[in-house]
Amino acid sequence: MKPENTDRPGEHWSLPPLLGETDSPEIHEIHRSILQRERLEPQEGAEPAPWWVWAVSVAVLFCMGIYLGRYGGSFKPVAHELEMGSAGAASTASARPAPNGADIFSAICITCHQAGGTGIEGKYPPLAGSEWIAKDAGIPVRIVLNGLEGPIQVKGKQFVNQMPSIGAQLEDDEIAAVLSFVRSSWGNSSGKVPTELVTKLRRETAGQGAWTADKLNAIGGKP
Amino acid sequence: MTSITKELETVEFRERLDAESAIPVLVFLASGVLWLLVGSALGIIASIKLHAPDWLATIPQLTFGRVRPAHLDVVAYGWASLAGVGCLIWLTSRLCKTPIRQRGALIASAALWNLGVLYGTGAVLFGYSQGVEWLEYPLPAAAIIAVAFLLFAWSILSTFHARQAEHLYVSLWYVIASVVWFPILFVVANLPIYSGVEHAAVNWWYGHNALAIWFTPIGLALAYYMIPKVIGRPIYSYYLSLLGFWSFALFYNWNGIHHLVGGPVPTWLQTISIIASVLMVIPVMAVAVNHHMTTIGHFKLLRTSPTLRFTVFGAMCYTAVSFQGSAEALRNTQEVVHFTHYTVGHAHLGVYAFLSMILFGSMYYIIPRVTAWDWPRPGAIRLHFWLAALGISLYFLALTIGGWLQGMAMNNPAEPFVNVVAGTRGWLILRSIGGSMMGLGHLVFAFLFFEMLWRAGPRRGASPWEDAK
Amino acid sequence: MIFIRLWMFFAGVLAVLFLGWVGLVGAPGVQLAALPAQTGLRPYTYQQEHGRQIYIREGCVYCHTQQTRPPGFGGDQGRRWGRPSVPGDYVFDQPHLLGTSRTGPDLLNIGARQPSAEWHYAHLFNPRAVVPQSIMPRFPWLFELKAAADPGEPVVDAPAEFRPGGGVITPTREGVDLVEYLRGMDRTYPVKP
Ligand code: HEC
Ligand code: HEC
Repeated sequence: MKPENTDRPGEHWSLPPLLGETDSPEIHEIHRSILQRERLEPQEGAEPAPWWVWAVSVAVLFCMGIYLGRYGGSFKPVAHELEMGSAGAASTASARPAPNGADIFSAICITCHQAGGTGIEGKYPPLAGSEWIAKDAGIPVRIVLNGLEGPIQVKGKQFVNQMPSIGAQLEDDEIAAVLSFVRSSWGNSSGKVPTELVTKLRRETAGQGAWTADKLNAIGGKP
Repeated sequence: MTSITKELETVEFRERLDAESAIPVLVFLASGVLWLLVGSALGIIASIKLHAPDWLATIPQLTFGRVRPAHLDVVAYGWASLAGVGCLIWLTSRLCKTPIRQRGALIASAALWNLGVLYGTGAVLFGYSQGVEWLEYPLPAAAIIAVAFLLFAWSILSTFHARQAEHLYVSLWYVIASVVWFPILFVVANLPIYSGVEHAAVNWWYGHNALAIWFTPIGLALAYYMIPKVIGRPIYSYYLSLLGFWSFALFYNWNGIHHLVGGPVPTWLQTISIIASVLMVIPVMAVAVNHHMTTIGHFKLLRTSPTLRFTVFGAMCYTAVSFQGSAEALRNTQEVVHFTHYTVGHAHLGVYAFLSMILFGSMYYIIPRVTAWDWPRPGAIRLHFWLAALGISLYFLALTIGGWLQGMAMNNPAEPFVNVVAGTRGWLILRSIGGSMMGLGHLVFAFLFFEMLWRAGPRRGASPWEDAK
Repeated sequence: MIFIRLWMFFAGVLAVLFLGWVGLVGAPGVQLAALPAQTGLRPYTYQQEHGRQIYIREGCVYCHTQQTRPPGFGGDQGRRWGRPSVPGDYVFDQPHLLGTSRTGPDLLNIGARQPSAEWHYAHLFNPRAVVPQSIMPRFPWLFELKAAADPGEPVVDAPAEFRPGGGVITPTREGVDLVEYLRGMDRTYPVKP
């Protein structure tokens, strides 16, 4: 191979004039001095790779082989295989721990009814001290199962809003748990809601749209 | 050393190489620096909005959901890519020991690239995003960037073809591989033919590979060059270089789906990406040992060479971010951190503490050689380093701790969601402070850079704060 | 030398990229394409699709996911964000909006969880009016200030400070369609394998 720079010996390669000072012998001088201070172009050393680098590499490969066997799944296009078996999300989790009412409240009701069940003035009625949950447990069960809309009077204040039906999101025992929690927190003290009541009302009110305060009163739940 | 090799290392020859690559290199670097400023501003705005949501809240172009992707795109396709290309042009010419080829194509590439980034970013801010992370740019902007990349690749490959170097140094393997890989990746990922979960797979195949086969090779190629060059001793082991390169090439491109762990994606697919992420331990270890053994005994040079100081910082962060990434990909870690700010901290450890710091270091080396001017203000360089290094450290720690706590709280259903949100606030403020320090560092750096372009500022001869004794 | 011959280097480089593509995109693509849509899933209506474009435009995806994880993996089930989602839930999604950040809650089933359009209007107009500690941006440009609402037009419940000179705030067509999209987000139907 013939190096190119010998083609035109002595030729002067100058840097482009920049925005400030233009090309001058002085600039060349600076460039040269920078290049003179430079070290050789990098070379490859010939040290062997340390033995432990190979050892660690083999060990990592080995572990990952085991990992593949353990977590690889069935190579089918199924998500969540490790948690839910090869039928994926289609299978329902069988053993479920007993639901915790406080957790369900924090997960669902709190967005609207706020921490402490205080509600928001003019928007969301309070659950703390509400007459609607106090007496007949069937009333709040119906509200959670099917939703509630239209004007309603809670603790002497008027609300006109709409609460979605939450029945499809929660199992019977979960509704019982969250309402038991609500009925015994923040000064409320009206006791537990049995799961059987939820099951019964779910069956009876199937197909029922959102409740209104009037309809609930008509059932006899008037506080 | 043969006589030809010697001939190819003379001052005159290197002077010629530098002179021929100067204009394209400077055009790319200057564009990169300008985009760095824009990207920093966007990043700081987005960051502040997360704890002061009512600030600038009525300007649609500046809503968080637009500024956040615009920031990512500007720093990735503007700053890191353009500055990276500038450095790679110079590097390729030096390593191939021949003047850079197709300089016209390079200028055209720079012009198109800037146009593409400007168009794409404008589109995101004005509401024409494609809505896919890392691929927000509308198709015409992506196409412009693809053409620009091909022009650049053409120049690099022609230079490689005309090389006079007898040996292909390891940096060159990374450069050549990445200019072959990236255009294919970019075009395939931008095809408008995917939907649903498969689109998500393509999205993260691309998103992770943009790092794996474009940004990381830039950083590694430069680190592999700058460290032995400044120290003046060969890179420790050729065998480690080989192990590092091929294991890197083999494993890194399988990592993408670790961005979808726990999601509606086939389990086997998540698992192979997790495995590939852990296997990254091998190349990273090889590179780290290689760099460390080269530097060992010369750490005092970190005091005097800005190039070495920035580059070694970056190389160490490469090791850190990669090991972190391997651990982060595991299912148990993903369960906590996947959807949190922790991930954002990790990303910045990669693209900033590793890649950007190496880019800064390399630019401190390259720019004097293409402007024929010494860096005028050692104090300012030191200031830049400390602002960047402390800024990113604060940034990273805040998001790592804050993100972890956020993830733990989010996984506890008894913790109302608003409390999770409120809990991140303090950490996000710290992040804004760290980010602003980095931004300030960029202003210092840009000032220095433009002084160099004008050959302005105080003249210095050889002083303690320079590249080699 | 890194290779015996230069072409081998290039062949190796291309091969690794291709292999990765086959593993992460090609093979799963073939598998997923063979899956049917979930039977409970409806295609987006024209209005919802338009709302989805607004969702993309405003970058909601940078703070909200649309994927729910299985029991035993994170708090998704405990938070009742919906049963674990499966590939068949997304067949109409182009582009996909799975998301990677939960600065805000998952929205895959927001329609079932929060069907009230009024709530969404108030929230989008000013999230802090509904959730005081929220850091979600406001989207006032999806609303307009009018002297009076047209018949049947929804009115946002906004305090007077947002209505200089009186009048009412109503959602624009973009706002209405976005909320239509959100209200349609409901993957609570049972999964068919
Ligand atoms: C999407 C918001 C929302 C959610 C979530 C919600 N509610 Fe309500 N709730 C309301 C609204 C609005 C009303 C008043 C409806 C009206 O004005 O007609 C209400 C009324 C009630 C009432 C009757 C009035 C009172 O204050 O006693 C009860 C009881 C109640 N909700 C219980 C619950 C429980 C238990 C949960 C959780 C399982 C829950 N709600 C979740 C919005 C919500
Ligand atoms: C800066 C991040 C951010 C962006 C961008 C964002 N959100 Fe939110 N979003 C949040 C946070 C935080 C919450 C939780 C607090 C609240 O309810 O406001 C939230 C809550 C929500 C909720 C209520 C969820 C629930 O379970 O109660 C909806 C609906 C919502 N966002 C829709 C949107 C839409 C639509 C967009 C885009 C137009 C959007 N968000 C953009 C952060 C964001």
